[in-house]
Amino acid sequence: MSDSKPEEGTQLEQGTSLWIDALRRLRKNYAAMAGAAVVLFMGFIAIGYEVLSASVTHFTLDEQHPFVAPKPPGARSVPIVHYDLMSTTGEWAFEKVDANGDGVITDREVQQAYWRQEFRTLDEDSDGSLSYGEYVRAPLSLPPPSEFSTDCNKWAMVRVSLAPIENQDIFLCDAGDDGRISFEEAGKLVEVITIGEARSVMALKDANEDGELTPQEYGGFPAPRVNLIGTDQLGRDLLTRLIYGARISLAVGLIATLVSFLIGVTWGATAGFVGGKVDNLMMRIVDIMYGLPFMFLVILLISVFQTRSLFLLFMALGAIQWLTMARIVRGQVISLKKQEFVEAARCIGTPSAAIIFRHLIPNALGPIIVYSTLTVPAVMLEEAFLSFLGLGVQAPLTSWGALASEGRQNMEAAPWMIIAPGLALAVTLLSMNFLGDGLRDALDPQLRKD
Amino acid sequence: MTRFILRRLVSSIFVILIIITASLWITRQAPSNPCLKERESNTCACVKENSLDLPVFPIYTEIPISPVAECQMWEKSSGFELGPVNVLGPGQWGETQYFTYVGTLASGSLGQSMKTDLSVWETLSAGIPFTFQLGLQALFIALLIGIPAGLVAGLKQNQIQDYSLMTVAMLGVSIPNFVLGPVLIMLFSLELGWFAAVGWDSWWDSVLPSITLGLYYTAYIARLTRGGMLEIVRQDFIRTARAKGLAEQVVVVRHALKGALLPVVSYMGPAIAAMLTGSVVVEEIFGLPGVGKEFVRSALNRDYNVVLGTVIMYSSILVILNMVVDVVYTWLDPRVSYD
Repeated sequence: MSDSKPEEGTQLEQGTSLWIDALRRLRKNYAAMAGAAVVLFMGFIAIGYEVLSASVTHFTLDEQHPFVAPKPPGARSVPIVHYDLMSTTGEWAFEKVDANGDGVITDREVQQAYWRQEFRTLDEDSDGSLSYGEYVRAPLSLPPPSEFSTDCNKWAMVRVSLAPIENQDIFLCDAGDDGRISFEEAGKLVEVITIGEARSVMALKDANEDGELTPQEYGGFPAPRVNLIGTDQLGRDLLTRLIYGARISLAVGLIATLVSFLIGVTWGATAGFVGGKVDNLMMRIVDIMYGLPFMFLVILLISVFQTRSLFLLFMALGAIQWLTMARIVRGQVISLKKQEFVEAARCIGTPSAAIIFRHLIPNALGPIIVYSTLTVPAVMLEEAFLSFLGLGVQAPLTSWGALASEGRQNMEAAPWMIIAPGLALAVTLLSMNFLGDGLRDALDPQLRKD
Repeated sequence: MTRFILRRLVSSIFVILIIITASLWITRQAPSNPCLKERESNTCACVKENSLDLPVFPIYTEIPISPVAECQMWEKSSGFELGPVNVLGPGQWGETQYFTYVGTLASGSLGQSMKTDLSVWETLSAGIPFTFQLGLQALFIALLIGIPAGLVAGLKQNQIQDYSLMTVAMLGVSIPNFVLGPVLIMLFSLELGWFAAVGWDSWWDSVLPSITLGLYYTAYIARLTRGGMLEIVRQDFIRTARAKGLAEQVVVVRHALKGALLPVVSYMGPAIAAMLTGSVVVEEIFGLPGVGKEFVRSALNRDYNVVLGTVIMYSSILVILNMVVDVVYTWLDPRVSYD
């Protein structure tokens, strides 16, 4: 089943201009260029996780902010690892934070200070109370229901599920019945941190570990930061995890493709170059393996060994992707090896291995690059598939597939948890496919179907 | 043709033997085994019952699993006779796990589940109707939508139909089914309430899982058909058909379609393999008690016989299907012959 075409000889004679020509054609393909831009962007994001985590999202991968439910996009949490300090004047002066005025700050007072600040943020017109409009616009941070009256608990749950909010439901907590919610009425509704978190925030400053801060120890607290696309079920910032997931997903895609590239090119080039019975046998093996439920063997391998090492994952995914590569390379090599330059190389006594790797493969590089580009999204899809089943990347690491899996388990309460990684995966795969298609059209105009 | 089929049958048996050997080796190499989680009195009985105390392969006589050594100590005070040992004597070649298992298979049985009292076949046959219905429906969707879409795109090349269909197809091959499934559930089950979100009570409920499984292949087949169509309409015999005044419909359906479907036919083998794998995730998402779900559960549970049974069943299906694909290929493309 060779794919070789006689016309490929003429294409080779274009010599060095082939690549420049291909680049020119690729530039004209806007879908492919947009795809390349997105892929590059994702690559930069993946590389820049440390920087982005410290200066853009302000959260780390596994920093937990425990709440009963995932927080919706736009909610705020207090970063513990990458914190910048609040100013120590105005509302955050020591005297203001020390609400009871006993000269030391306790964890309760820290919590109260954050509540007050969150309330002020929600209170857009600064009249000291929340109107219905202010409440609905505010992406509230959710308090644990246990610290709540029943009615307010219901209120919070309505907010969580993003169901249509009825006016009377909202104002169940409006004890004064005046249509506005004061700070006292809102109480813990505007909670951004739990008492445990308040303690860990204090521990940043509490040098002598007595659970109290004196004016000398006090130097401001971490500023609350927005969870741009919400948090997951453990209160971890979703955007940060998505960025880290990009790193793992892209790395798996690239490395497994490299593995498949090495196996496939060597196998296909050897079969095509040697020819005869060896070729027959090698390609028969490929034909047989092509029809096997390979993913089942991978699932079997990973689930029985339970090592879940990334290395095993790379190898397993690479090992099932090399078959098509081997076929493509073989077809190319068979059509190339009859060319004069190969005969010339053989005449001057070049060893077979050198002919394969120095002369044949570089000339077959176009289709190899195209197919490699298309293998990356395929591998990423498989990694996501395994992670989705819980057989891929394990905590504390995460990948887009693992995030989608967590998202599916919480999809009714927190749709953003599946939408975000799903969108990231779909956009990246789409871009890679467009780029791969564009590269194919650019490098092999004869294959182009128009 | 008969010779070809016979030859393929013989090589298929070899292929399945290789798969059996590889999967048996993988399961027996695992650091855990089905008997570990039982209570101690049961452990050794379990080891004995599943012949885990036997050497795995004739050439590989070491017993790698952990409770066997303890059981050999324990056996002295109990009625169990464990053994043989790590070394095989002459005439003991039949007494390896590998030959015992292959012997069971040869007698037409997939063996006994290591965790439950059911046989492997009973375990699997509970899930087969779900998985097969799901797979067949997905395949039908893929072929019934994918091929016409590809034909239209190919015939209207570089026109609005082509661009819009191919953009949709590109989206289709880029959205993973485990993202598509939950999104469809959120839209059509939770928001609109048209389908059941979990489970499968009537045929209606199978629509969503089938679409989830089938969309990727629909898109892929549309792309393949378009490619095949573009190649074929440039061939001389199509020009001849047009030149002798045949109606466009006749040219497309009678002459071009057969050739345009060649890439689709050769994709069928890998497609069905991938669909069987994909159904694992779809069953998981939609909470269907299919074979895929059983497979993952058994693999994590170390119910080796069920795992091996699933792998053998699926490989056999695929090997047979690949053979059928090759036969169909010769019928579609008279230039190809296998002799």
